[in-house]
Amino acid sequence: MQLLRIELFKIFKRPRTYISFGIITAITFVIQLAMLSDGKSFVGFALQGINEQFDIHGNILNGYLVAYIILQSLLIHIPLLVALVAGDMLAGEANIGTLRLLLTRPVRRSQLVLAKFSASFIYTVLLIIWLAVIALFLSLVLFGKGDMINLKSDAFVMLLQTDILWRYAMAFVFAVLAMTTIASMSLLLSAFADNSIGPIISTMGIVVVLTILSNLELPLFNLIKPYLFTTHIIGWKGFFDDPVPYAAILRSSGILVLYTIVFITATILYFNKKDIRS
Amino acid sequence: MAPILEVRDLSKSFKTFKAVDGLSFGISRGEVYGFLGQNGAGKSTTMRMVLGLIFPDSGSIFINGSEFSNSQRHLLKSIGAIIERPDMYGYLSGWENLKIFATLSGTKVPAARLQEVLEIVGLKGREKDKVSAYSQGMKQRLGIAVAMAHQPELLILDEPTNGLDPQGIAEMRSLIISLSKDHDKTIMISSHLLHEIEQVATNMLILHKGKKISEGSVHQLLNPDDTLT
Repeated sequence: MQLLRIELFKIFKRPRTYISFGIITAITFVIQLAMLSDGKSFVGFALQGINEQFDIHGNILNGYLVAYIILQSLLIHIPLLVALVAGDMLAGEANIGTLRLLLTRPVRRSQLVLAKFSASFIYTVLLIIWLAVIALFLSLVLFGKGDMINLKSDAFVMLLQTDILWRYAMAFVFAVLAMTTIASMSLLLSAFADNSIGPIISTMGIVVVLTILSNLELPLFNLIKPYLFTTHIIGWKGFFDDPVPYAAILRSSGILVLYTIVFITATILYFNKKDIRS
Repeated sequence: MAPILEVRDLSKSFKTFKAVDGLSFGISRGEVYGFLGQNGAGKSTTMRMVLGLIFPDSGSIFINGSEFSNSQRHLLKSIGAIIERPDMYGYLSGWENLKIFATLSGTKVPAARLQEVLEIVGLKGREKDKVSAYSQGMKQRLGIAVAMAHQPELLILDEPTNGLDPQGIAEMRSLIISLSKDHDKTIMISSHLLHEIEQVATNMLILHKGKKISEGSVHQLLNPDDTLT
């Protein structure tokens, strides 16, 4: 616990930690501003096909829809913000030389890795809570409530406004799980490096490449898709389907937990044997 | 009484480069043990192995008579160290850095003790400043404060005068002598400069290409007529 307290103290004393919260705030504000000025025409365009067949009334451009649009837009950005901290955990300390001093203390290396992982997890939780506050609750204040239309490639799902809030709560919990997987991968990469730029860029590279593979509709990639964590980090979208595909969400959660355990175990095994020469 | 630190037949290679080759030595309580050698002689690698930063290929390390390994890291409670540069968290104050490393020392260190070590190293009054605003000399002194805050029996100082100006070197030298004489610390200190070692050390070991060339009291080694061990 002492180690974890120290790790959290270091994270939240460092100005760069707050960059992530600032970036989320800025992106969210920009999207909310765009929706305030052009949202109606955007929604009108998106619902063109549906309007010809259905008569839709009410506050379509509401806080729930705007929050959903924001979450879709931040799909690639949040892993980067998580990697900014998790990727710096070991490599950043190696770079500034404090890892050397830390490990001259009677602290077990596995304890240090677990403390750093736990601190990254807490940072991730706070980041997602901040996202929830700024993307969902601020959007509800700005755009009001209403039923939510979830447009998919081959269908649309209409969710009643009384049936949405719990879906967001579950989606944010799932997002924490998904981003924890990213944090654990970033921590593993951080153990291999002696400066934090490498692990941060590598994390992003892996996420981008695997996301492309997860989305390519080619028979070759279809074989590996179920095993890629990027296929599962978008599992939160399932909570906005009707009915909710619980089996698929549970499977995705299990795979993400498995990936996290593998990444952390690999980090401990490698770091326990690593010569600290930085 | 067992030596505070004993190293037996220690070896370490990095790929094809043999950094330390069958090194053995012992440090008794009260000694200031100089570790002299050119850059790349294996001084830092040996100190890092003693502190568990680098794993030896073969050989043993004993701290207070108990064999040290990765699973026996609690033995490090009796050691305080600065390896190469005393790098700290620049965005934190000197006090915050001192407190963090004291907390991790495995010993309960009261705030009064932290104030005391700041006084000893001459940083009293500057502890609230961010370390990024410290001069190199102040960072070195803070490093020594961190190393000695938990009252370790042995201080390991790897080239503590590196990067200091002449005044800083003189101050550091006085501090090391004072730690030994006034605070009864056993000190292992490395340098590539003979005159640095001879001014502070009681005993010394000369290392060349990872091997021990000679070992003995500073007096013996500086007088060719005396017997070398």
